Parts: sequence; C-alpha cells; structure tokens
Amino acid sequence: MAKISALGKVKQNITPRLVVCAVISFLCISVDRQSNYLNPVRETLSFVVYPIQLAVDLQMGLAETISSYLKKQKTLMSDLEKLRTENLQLSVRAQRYSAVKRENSRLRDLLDFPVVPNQRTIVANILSIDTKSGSQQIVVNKGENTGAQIGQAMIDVHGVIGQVIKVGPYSSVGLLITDPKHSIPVELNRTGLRAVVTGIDESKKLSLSFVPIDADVVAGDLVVSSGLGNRFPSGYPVGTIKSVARVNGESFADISVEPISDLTFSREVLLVGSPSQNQEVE
Amino acid sequence: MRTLQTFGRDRNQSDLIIAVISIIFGFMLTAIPFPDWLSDWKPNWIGLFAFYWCITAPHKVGVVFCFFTGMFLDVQHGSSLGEHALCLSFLAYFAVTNHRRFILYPSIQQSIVIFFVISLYGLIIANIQRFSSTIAFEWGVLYQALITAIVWPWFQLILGELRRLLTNRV
Repeated sequence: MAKISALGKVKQNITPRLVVCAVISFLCISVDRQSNYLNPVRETLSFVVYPIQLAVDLQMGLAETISSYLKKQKTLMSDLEKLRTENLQLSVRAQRYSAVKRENSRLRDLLDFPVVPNQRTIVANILSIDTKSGSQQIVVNKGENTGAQIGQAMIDVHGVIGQVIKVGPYSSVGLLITDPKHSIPVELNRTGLRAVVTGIDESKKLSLSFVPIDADVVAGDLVVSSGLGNRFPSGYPVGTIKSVARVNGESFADISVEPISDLTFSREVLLVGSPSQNQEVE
Repeated sequence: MRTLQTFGRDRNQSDLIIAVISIIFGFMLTAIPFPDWLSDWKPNWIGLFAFYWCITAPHKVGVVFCFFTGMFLDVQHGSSLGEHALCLSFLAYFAVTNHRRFILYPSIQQSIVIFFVISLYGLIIANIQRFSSTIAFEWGVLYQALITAIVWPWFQLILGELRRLLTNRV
C-alpha cells in the first residue's frame, strides 16, 4: 500500500479542481436550460459520442441478422405467406388510394384550394431511448447531413411518436409525445372533436386536455393528429381513448389516452415534413 | 472475495490509456437498449467505471477526467449539459479522497458504499431535472443503485484482471 503514498499530493490539488468543475457544471446546466448557446459544444462532443452509438447499433443489427439466419425454414415460409397476403391487400388498398388522391386533388382544384404536396420523409433508426431520466427522448441516426430539421414529426408504423427538438451533424434528438412538456393538437376520428393531447409524467400515458364534460367521448375512440399549428401532418393516429372520468362540478372531463405505438418494439422511425415547406403551403 | 488490486507507480503509465478505453466501453454498454420493464435495472456503467478508476488509479484519473466523461454522457443522454458532469465530479472527489480506506474494505462493505454513492448520484440527477419540470419521484433510482452495487464485486474483479494482463503486456 506504500505505492499510493502520493495521497498528500492528490489531496492538495483535488478540492480546487472539484470547485472549478462544479461551478462549470452548474453554469452549463443553467445556460443550457435557458438558451442554446451551448449547442456548438454539444455538437463537438457528439462527434465523439456518435461513433460509439453507431458501433452499438451495428452490433444490434448484427445480432438481428444472425437470429434471422437461425430462423427455421418453416417459420420463414409462413412469414413469407403472411407477408404476401398482406402485400396483396395493401396494394389493392393503394390502388384505391391513388384514385382517391386524384379525385381529392381535382376537387381541391375545383374549389381553388392549394394542393398539399407530398411531404418529404426520412427513414431513421433509433439509437437510444431514454424514458427514465425525467424527460422522454429518443436519439435517431439522421442529422443535418440527411436534411433532418427541428420541428419535423416523428412517426413509426403505428402512428405519431414525437417531434425533432435538436439536430446534430449526424444524429438528432426527438421529444416523445409522452413527455410532460409535450403537447400535440388532435381530433377525434369518430366525432371530429378537436383537443390537445399532453404527456403526463407517468410513463406510457397521455391526457386529453380541455374537453368539456358533456362532450361525446367514449373509451376506444381513435385520436388522430389534426394538423393545426402546422407542426404535425394531419391524420396520423396518436392513440386511443383509454378511460373517461367525469367528475361532477368540474368543467372539463378527465380523459386518459393510450399512445398507439409502443417504442419497445420499433427500431425505425420516419421524420416527416419540413417546417419551411409547411409555411409555403400556408 | 479478493480485495481491490492496486498497482505500483512505475506501472501507472498505461493506466490512463486503459481507463479511456474502458470508459468508451462503458459508453457502449450504456447505449445498449434495454426492454422497458428492465430499464430500471440497468447498472450505472459509467458510474462504476469512473469509481473504479478513481479508486485504483487516483493519480491518473480524477475529478477533471470524470467531469469530461460526464459531459460526454450528457450529450449521449440528451440531458442538459453538465448534469452528469456535476455528479461524476462529486463521485470522483469522494472516491479519490477515500480511496485508501475503500481498498481495505471487505467486498460487502464496498458494495454498500457503491449503493449509497450511486443512489446519491441518481437522486442528484433527479432533483436537478425537477427544477425544470414536474417529474414524480421514481424508485428506479434506487433499483439502479442496488443492481450497480450487486454488480460491483464481479466488475472490479474482471476489470482488475484485464488491467493486470494489459499492464504486464505493455
């Protein structure tokens, strides 16, 4: 134990170092909360962190590849069969879709409405999901290099999951709709009632705010994005109504919504729309 | 179980390199996605690595090293810059100032200390984040500390062996 006899030296230097580091940390925390002056620093640091994330992501991809090799032929065949039927159904639906789309644009022409252009989508992989450290965020592997922008909606196969809040050179951070700081304008698919869905701090739950107590809302209703506010594209599913509590004397009903997509199982998300494009449409 | 190994100062030269490599490995471990029901039970890897290096190589790895590690961790988590840096700085201070005493503890006692240190770490983070939003307290902080404390004895054993191999090689 004589080897660590330099303890005295260590002790002399360490307290001022701690004080300096703590002061810098506190400054960073408060500056980062209120402004984005520190974004260059964050971007510089992310050049180091990004390869690490990517390496892990590659390994996860590798594990998936291996497990797909190990699948039995039988399961593969049944999967193929299932996908074929699904594909047939979807392509039939897509034929109708293109007809409906043409009709829609013709009607819009007749009414002198601007035609909403096809929105650009970027496919991104989820690098990490952080739902435990207070705020609910995900990191995806597309950044400025592929044209990701702040304010784009994040959508997975089931529906809306969040929006882009920070864009780095090679990755971006999305705020999930389940975050308490996040709200999204929605409407009920059945009745067209417009409302706002807000995240609450209990994980995996949303609340439908400011709905009058006598409104026609029942459990099981589909909630879709309304497109008001020009942030989210309209018509994407957000969740389903889980329970409606009407307390006598209150002016608003207490409605909880279950998010439609479960992030545990999805690895790909779409970044949809660009704010600048939306403004042109406006 | 064996207590922690320390190394002579003449062999300290390679410590910093090994520390950096192991911290990078720690970041990779942190980045591995856990299923949602298990995510409370993910050990605080960076905390473990930082603590280990502050205990066994206090001349090379200290407050400043851990501060920068924390900054990188903040970028990785997307939390506001400085949260983890602050906690890791305090963790490093505690570790470096007490490393002599800590090395002599039996394994169980080391784990208990780790439990409290990592709990404190998680609670400070939780409280910093509470300033900006109304987040309810989650017991996940303590679960994480518990699993980290359970992991510690094996962790330090494996890392110690690896380090001895590498140090002898260099």
